[in-house]
Order: sequence, then C-alpha cells, then structure tokens
Amino acid sequence: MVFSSLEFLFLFLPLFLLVYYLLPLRGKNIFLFLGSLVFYGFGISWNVYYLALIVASVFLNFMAAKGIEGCRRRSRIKNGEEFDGKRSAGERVILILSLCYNFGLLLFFKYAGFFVDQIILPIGISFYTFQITSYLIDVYNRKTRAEQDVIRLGAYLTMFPQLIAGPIVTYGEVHKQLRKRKISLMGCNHGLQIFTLGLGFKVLLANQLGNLWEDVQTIGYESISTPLAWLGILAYSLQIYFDFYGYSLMAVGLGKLLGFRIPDNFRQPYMALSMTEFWRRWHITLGRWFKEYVYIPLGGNRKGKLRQMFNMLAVWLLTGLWHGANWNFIAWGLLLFLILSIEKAGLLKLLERWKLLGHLYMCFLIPVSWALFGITNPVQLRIYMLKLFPFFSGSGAHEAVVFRGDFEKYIGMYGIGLVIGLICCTGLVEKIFIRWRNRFWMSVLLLIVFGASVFCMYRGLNDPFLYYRF
Amino acid sequence: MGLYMRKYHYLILFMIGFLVLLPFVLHKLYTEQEKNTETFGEVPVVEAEDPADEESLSEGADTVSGNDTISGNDTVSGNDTVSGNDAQEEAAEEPGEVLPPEEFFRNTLFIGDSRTMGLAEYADIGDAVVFANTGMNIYRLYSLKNAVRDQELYLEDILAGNQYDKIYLMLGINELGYDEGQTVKRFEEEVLKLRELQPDAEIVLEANLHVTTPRSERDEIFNNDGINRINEHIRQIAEKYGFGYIDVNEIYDDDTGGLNPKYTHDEVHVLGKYYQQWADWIRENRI
Repeated sequence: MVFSSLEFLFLFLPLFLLVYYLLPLRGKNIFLFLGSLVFYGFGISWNVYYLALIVASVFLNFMAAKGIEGCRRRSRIKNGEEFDGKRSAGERVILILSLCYNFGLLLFFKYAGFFVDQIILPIGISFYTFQITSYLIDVYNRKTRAEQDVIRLGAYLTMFPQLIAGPIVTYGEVHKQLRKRKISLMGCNHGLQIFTLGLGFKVLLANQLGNLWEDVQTIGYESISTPLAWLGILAYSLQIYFDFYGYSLMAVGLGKLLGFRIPDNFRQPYMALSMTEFWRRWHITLGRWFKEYVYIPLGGNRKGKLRQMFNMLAVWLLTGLWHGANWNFIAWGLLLFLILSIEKAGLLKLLERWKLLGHLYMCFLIPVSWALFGITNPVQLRIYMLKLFPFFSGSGAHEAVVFRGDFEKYIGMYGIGLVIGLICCTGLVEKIFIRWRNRFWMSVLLLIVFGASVFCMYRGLNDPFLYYRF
Repeated sequence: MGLYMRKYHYLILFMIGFLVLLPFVLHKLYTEQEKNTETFGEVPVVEAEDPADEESLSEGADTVSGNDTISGNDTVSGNDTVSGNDAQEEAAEEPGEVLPPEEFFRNTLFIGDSRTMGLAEYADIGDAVVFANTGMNIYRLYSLKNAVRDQELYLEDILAGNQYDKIYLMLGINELGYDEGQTVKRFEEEVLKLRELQPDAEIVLEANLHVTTPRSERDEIFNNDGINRINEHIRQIAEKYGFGYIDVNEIYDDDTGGLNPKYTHDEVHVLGKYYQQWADWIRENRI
C-alpha cells in the first residue's frame, strides 16, 4: 500500500487516525506498532515470513541493545571505575553479532536474486535495516540509551510514514516523542498541507513525467532521436526526484499528523552547483547514515588524504550497492566517487565561484548520472549513451529507423509538464508555500491539488512507486 | 468558528473535500474488483460479453495464417508465406520482385490505433497516408480528428479528398471494454461505409496485434482471448464481404500465442525497430 493510493488515503489513514487520536499515549504507541504492521502487511501481500522478519528485527535488536547496556554495567561494576571510554568484549560481541544478523539478512535478500529466482526483496528492508543498525551503534557508542519498552522500539522502527521508503530516522531523533508528544490542530493542519504538497509532486508531476520515460522505453532506445534521448532522460530525472521527494514530503506530513518530527530528506538538490553539494541535498538521511556509520568510523578525513580517498570509495561503493544488486549501481557509485574526488581536488572551488558554470555542469551531470542509475542493462545503456552523444557513434550504418518528428511529438505531449517540473525544482513552490501557508487562498490551492491528485488516482493514472523496490 | 477558520483553513477544507470525495472513492473501491483494467486510451468500460464460445476462439487462432481469405487479389492464394525475409522462397515461386515501399504503398491509406501509429512512425511505408491515433476505436472512427500531414482532418475529409487504391484497417483492441456484439455490429457498419465512400479501393482488414502472454494473463479485459475473439469476428466480416484479411501476429508471436516479450517493452506495442518487419511482411506477401 503506497501513500498515493485510494486505499491508503480513504480507508487506512482515516480509520487509523480516528482510533489513534482517541487513545492515550501508551495506547497510541501500541496502535502505531500494530497499525504499521497492518500497513506493511498490505505492502507485502501478507507474506507471513516477511512480517515475521520485521517483528523479529524489533525483538532481537531490542534484546541486543539491552544486552550491550547490560554488559557495560556489569563490566563497570566489576572494574569498579567510572566509564573510561573502553568497551567490554561482551558489548563488542553483541554488537557484531547483531550487525551480522541485520546486514546478513539485507545482503541475503538483495543478492539472493542473483542465484535463486523468485526471491522478492521484502519491502522496506533496506530502510529499516539502516534504522535499526543506527540505533544499535548509537547505543554502543553511548549516544543514546537502550529503549526499555519493546513497544516503543517497535513503534519507532515500523512507524508507517517512514517504513517503506524512508526518510531514515534515527532513534535519537524521535525517542523523546515516543515518550511524550503533542498533537495539535495546528500541527495537523500543517502536516496535511505538507502531505498534500508531496502527494501533488508524486501524482501530478512524477507520474505524468514518468509516462514520457515509459514512452521512450516503449519506442526502444535504438529508435529515438538524440533530442528525444535528452528529453527522455530529463523526464526520468524529474520523475525520480518528484517521486522520492514527494514520498518523503508525505512522510514528513504524516509524521506531523501523528505527532512526530520526521527529518527532511531533500533540499532542492537540482539547484546544487556541484555533485558534492548535490549529495548534501539529495536523500539527506541516507548520506547522513553513510557519513555517520561508515565514513567517520573509518577515520573520515583525519587519517591523511589517501585514507580519506579510500573512505570515500567505500562509502560510494556501498551507496551504489544499497540501491540495488546490479553492476550498474556499482558503476554509478564509482562514477560519483570519481566526480566527487575531482571536485575535491579543486573543481569545487571553481564551480562555487562561477555559479553559472556550476549550474551548467550539473545540468549535464545530473541526467547523465541518472541514466547510469536508471538503465540496468549494459547493452541498452551503451545504446542510450550513444544516443545522448551521437558524435561517438561513428558511422550509423546499422541504425534503426528514427521517427524524425519524435521530439516535436513528445514535447507537444509533455512540454507543459516538463516546464512545471523544472520550475518546481527551483524551490519556488516551497518558498511560496512557507510564506503564505496560513492564507486562505493557499488552502484552496492545496485542496485543488488534492482533488486533482485523487482524480488521477481515481482514473487509474497512477504508477507504482519508483523506490518501492529498494 | 471564525478563529478556527483563520488558523485551520486547510484542515477544515480538507475534511470537507475528503467527505465529498469519500462516497465516490468507496464506490470505486467497492465495485472495481477487477484489477488491472488499464486502458489503451479512453475506454468507457462497459460490461464485456461473457467468454464467447471456445470454438471460435481456437479457430481464430489457427485458421488465420495462410488461407485464402485474401480477396480481390489473386497473387497470394493459399500458401503459407510466413514471416519475413526469405525472398528466395518468394522468388522461386514467382519471379516478380518485391516492390519498394514507395511503389507498393502508393495511394494507400492506413487506419488504426497506436499500433498503426507506430507503423507510420517507425517503418518505411512510402507515401502512404495514415489516419491513426492512440486510443482510436471503431466508435470514434468518423468523429475524431487526426493530424494527417500537418492538417487536422476527419476521416471523411480524407476519404473525400482522394480515391485510394488500398486501405488497411487495424482496430479492435480499444473496443475490448465495450459490448462485443455491439462492437462487431458497429465494425461491420463502419467498414461498409468505408467501402461506400471508397468504392474502388481494396480494403484489407488487419487482425489486431496480440499483447504478451504475461500481460494477457494480468488483464481481464485487454487480453489475447479478447483479441483473438475480435480478430475472428473481423475475419468473418472480411469473408462475408470479400475484404482482404491479414494477420501480422505470425511474425511477432511466440509459441504461447502472445506477443514475443523480446519485441516489446510495454508488452503491448512492438519496439520501434520492429515495425519495419510488419511493413516488409505486407510487401513481401503482396497483400
């Protein structure tokens, strides 16, 4: 069940909220945990094993975190001293074992598909694995205390607004709200507004522009003109952004409805002047996770330039792998590593000084890197790249027929959507929204967005959520 | 109320909007049990007639290729000059060569839906005129305008403007949501009208292209059973009135009787580069 479905909007959500608001706090947490499992159940078509997997994850990690704290207490008592920064062997063993369990399952499900057919990735496992491991490591590092109530931990991990596609919330961010949270009419008002904005981005922009990308694939890459190839990859770039951004906004909005503050995941990434900046604005919570739990533990930039390069390489290879079990994601991660290294070596300063250059550079790199991300078949990718850069293709002897009018045809069909999409990348919409969100006309506007989105869903113009498979 | 209204407009408006939409949505969720009723255009889904008799269905599937349904043209009769490019076979049997597209499709009109549009865009069909649009169906044949050579025209304008030698027509898949009997009746009427307006043209009815078998199995309306049924009706109409009938599925189908998945991305349309085979097939078989 995705947020942009009629079932969610008109059945699950209202029924859930109705009960949720009537319950006292402890009841709210229990209901949130159970309700989220129901939500998850719909998403995995009630595959009992996958449901058991997530419940097991809650309970095992709950025990592990408590175990880590228990070991610490015991060793402190034994040594009769204050905390000296050292961890006991017990703490380390528990952490390593539980990390092996969590990442082992993730790896198994992501990569088993290579060897065995018909293993479907349990939805959201990439996200909840990262959340629960961040919790464990934080407990181990004494950044946060182990949760003493399994219901609260369950509510944190499975909380449906962020369960299947993030943002990757850390336990530290919500642990206070799990104990005490204020739900106000004002917060609900605002949450609904943000939710509607996200829904509009997803249904009215991402889905419609996704159709253009779909059309390009239906024609086949051999038979598209170079202008259409660029138009197609532009559409894909906009689709993937509004899809994921819209979904993240909906999560933030839903969080507010439930009384939680869920962190922002995007900050106008397409306005970045460099790839370095782009990745500080795109899928922020994922970048944060890798920085916090891979880059810095490996030494970050504190162990010399060479080590720093290695650490970056590790982060980007893992980022690539996280997105999918396919060679192209690794190639994509490597490409990003390469670009970021070049930027670090000096290009970054140039790009930041000459802003126009920075924008032009990103206008080129964003779609090209998404092509590498989006086209998983190497043969197809090569064809697409040659379409984007025809001067490398040499003689076009074996070229398939290209419909000369294809660019005009599709710009006619999708031109307006593309322009609106580009405008929405600039952050203008968000600025207008924040500035005037308490005005009546803004509410009317948002209601129109909601109505139009529901209309599209009603008519069945909806598409499956892009990030669903991750 | 005034104070609340000032602070919580959206909450209040949303509630009202939600309550207004709720009955419609619930009605849809309740009534629409059939999943995957995706449309190929705008299709007002009317009840599809119940699974027609098995006989005509299987008949439709295997009588199609290589029998002498082609009328008014005696070059092809009765052999199975199946798919593609073996010009040798052709040549052995009849010395004449395959005409180039400009000649073969001279003064030819194609009428159809998105598939025919693909043919027009990605295959060489000489200077043939094409009246096709995504979502075109027999019910809208004369009421929709289409861009034909940079002009928005009705079919009647096109037919009035020129006497064609040959008219190919492939329609039927977008009609699958409608009542079958009604569609067949309408199809017959519209084709007869076509003959009336173009008395000297050789009219060739084309069987609709299949979708892939997996796609077919997911869809309760737009599936290959439905396509085979409508194709069989079209074949009967062709036989009854002496129109040509061709079934290009034989070059695209796999052995499950659906569109071969390797020819398509969306499981409905062949990839751009494969449309040429369709045009070549028509030329090589002289139909």
